Amino acid sequence: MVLTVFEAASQLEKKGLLVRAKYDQSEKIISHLNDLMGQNVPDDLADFYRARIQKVNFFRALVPSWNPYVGWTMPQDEIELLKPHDAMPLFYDGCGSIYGLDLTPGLSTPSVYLFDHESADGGPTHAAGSSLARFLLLLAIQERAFEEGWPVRWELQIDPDLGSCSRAPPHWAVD
Amino acid sequence: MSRRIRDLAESNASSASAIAGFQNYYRPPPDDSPAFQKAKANFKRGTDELAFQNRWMAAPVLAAAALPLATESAGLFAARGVAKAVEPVLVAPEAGTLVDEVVVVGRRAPLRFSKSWIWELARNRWHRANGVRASELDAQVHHSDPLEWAHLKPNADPNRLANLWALPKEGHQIANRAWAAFRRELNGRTPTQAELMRAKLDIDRLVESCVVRCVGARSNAANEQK
Repeated sequence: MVLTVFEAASQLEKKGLLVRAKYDQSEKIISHLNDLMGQNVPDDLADFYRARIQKVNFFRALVPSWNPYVGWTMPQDEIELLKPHDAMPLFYDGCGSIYGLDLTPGLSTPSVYLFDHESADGGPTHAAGSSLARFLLLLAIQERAFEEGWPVRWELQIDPDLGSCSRAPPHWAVD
Repeated sequence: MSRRIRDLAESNASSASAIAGFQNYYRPPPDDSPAFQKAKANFKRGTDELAFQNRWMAAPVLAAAALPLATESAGLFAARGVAKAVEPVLVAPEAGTLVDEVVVVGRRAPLRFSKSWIWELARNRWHRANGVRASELDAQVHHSDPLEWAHLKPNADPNRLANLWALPKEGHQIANRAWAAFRRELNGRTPTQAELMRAKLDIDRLVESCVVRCVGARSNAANEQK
């Protein structure tokens, strides 16, 4: 079943795990990023901005914002960090590593990967979601899974395709 | 009734007269009499001297009581030693096991851990210690000793509270860049413990002004200052 970012966001919002931004700047953000990257942002990423996602559980989204007085406030460092690896930053993991969406051209459903801040090459360390929508569900619930001691590979219940991400395996296959 | 009283009773016609005769026979001196006090003090001195002279007699009695205690203490010390020998180190739960089933291995075993699991634990531990999440303070939990080389300190828990610093994004990036420079200098080599410690102290000094502190945090440092 294909889950869209909007569906995932509304599911999380109903559970009180998602906070939306007050103002919708999505079209401005999308066109700015298109100019900046020289290519169209993937549909999932555009939906992510259109859904005005500001916070999922305790994870604050890395979203550019426009202010008419000061201009663009960009997660510039994070964008620069992931640019060589064809990825767009989405969230911090809370310990300095970044969840980024794969921007490899030609992908219909890009996956989300974790980029370890301690890694020597800075590339994707492990897959965090086979799609952006599934990733949002996993991100929102991972704290609870840890605290309640859910079985390893619990992620497969929500994202069965997590093991088939092309650039990196899931965390249990890496660690 | 003592033999003497019985004798007196037998020798007298009635028991009443026998008791009266006994009262006449012995009358204890009053407590406040100087003679009695003196006798009492002399008696105490005498008993103390005897106790001191015969103190060696207590040794076998005390030894009998102390033996089980000594055995128990030795056992406790041994158990402590064993506990130290199998000091828990963080080991990632294997696939198919429960997340809360942390494998405990001996101190000589190599440190194996799941980074994502340790990060999760770090955030959780910082939250519990400070009563607020680092993300709510717009901060990230930084490992002062990087996890990358945590295996160089196998007896140290990488998520000990002293190793968890809350840094704002900018502060964390400064630390990350400094560690990246250190890593480049190593040129693929594993650092020694001394090199690692020197770099850690330098980088800690670099970012210590950025540390996000939580007002009312329950930390040892706060208690020590009091």
